[in-house]
Amino acid sequence: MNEPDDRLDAALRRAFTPPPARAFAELASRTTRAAPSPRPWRAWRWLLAAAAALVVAALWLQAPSDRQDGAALGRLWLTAYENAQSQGFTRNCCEPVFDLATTCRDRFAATLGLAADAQVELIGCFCSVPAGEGMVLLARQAGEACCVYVLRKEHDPGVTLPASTQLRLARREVGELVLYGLGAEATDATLAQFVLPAN
Amino acid sequence: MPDPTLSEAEFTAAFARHGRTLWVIAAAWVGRNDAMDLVQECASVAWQKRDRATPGGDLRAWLAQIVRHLGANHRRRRQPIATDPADLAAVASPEPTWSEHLDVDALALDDHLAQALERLGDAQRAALLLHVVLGHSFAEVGELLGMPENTAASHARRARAILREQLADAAGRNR
Repeated sequence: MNEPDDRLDAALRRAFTPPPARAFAELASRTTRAAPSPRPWRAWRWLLAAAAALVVAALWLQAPSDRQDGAALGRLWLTAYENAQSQGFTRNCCEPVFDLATTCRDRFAATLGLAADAQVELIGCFCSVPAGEGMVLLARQAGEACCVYVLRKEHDPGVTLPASTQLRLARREVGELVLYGLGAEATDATLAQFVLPAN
Repeated sequence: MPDPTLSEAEFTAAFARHGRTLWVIAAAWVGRNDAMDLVQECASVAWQKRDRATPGGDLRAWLAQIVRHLGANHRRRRQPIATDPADLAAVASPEPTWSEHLDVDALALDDHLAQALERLGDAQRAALLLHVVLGHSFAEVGELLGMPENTAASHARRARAILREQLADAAGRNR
């Protein structure tokens, strides 16, 4: 290296002498204090999220569900039937004047009626016990009383009865509605008389 | 399983060990007066992203890369591209150039040298300063600047030649 290079290097060293090492240690220390470690949170956030998900799932399972369960609704309907039976299948309606078509239109936005030559006697509705989202009707055919449960198709969970009962359950779809008949005997013939009105 | 993330002690030690090198790289990109600010910014970024660093690995090269990127961003921000007539006024009175960040008198660096340094590319300036001021080998300079050793040596030699030439011209004009 020659003399001009030496002078040049010396000038550069004078001009670009960095601060002492301890200045950078202090700078780093300040930085870590100002921005505390995000990592513990990063490590724990998955655990927290998982715990939160478990809590939500547990609450969801314990909370009363809006969704109807077929077996649960079956138990509810069985209770309603037994209640109606204990009252001798007498009308116990929450509506002062019961008209099948009007009630179905108001409650289900759907039409339903009885066939013109229906052999079934429609006793009326039965509101003594809750029956889920459906409506309970009392009907009698050939002296045999039964309950007819009406609900919209999209609310039909596929109702089943407890295995312990001797009662029989029949099902029929009429337009936008689903009818279930519950009685001591088969109720298919009773359900068959519920039809869509002509107009 | 040991925590693979850089601890505060390791982080502080890394800056104590490599801070001066980082400062010289920063000075090569943004000038001496802003170099410490750039190193500070580097520390903040590195601390936030320290899970990407490998303790015991080449922390110096990783930190140097952060400083270079930050320095390049600073340089880009200082060179706006005018596309709108309203922006032309801003371009007409641009941000200070690299040499204007040098406190020339205080540093005993004459005007000619300051102007000559400005004619160098960032990598040339950094290679020369790392080699001359801190005595890093060209292999180390290459690692710090993310380039092969030969390229680093070539940058430093070319930078020195340009400075020598510029200073000789200036001396000739003054005679």
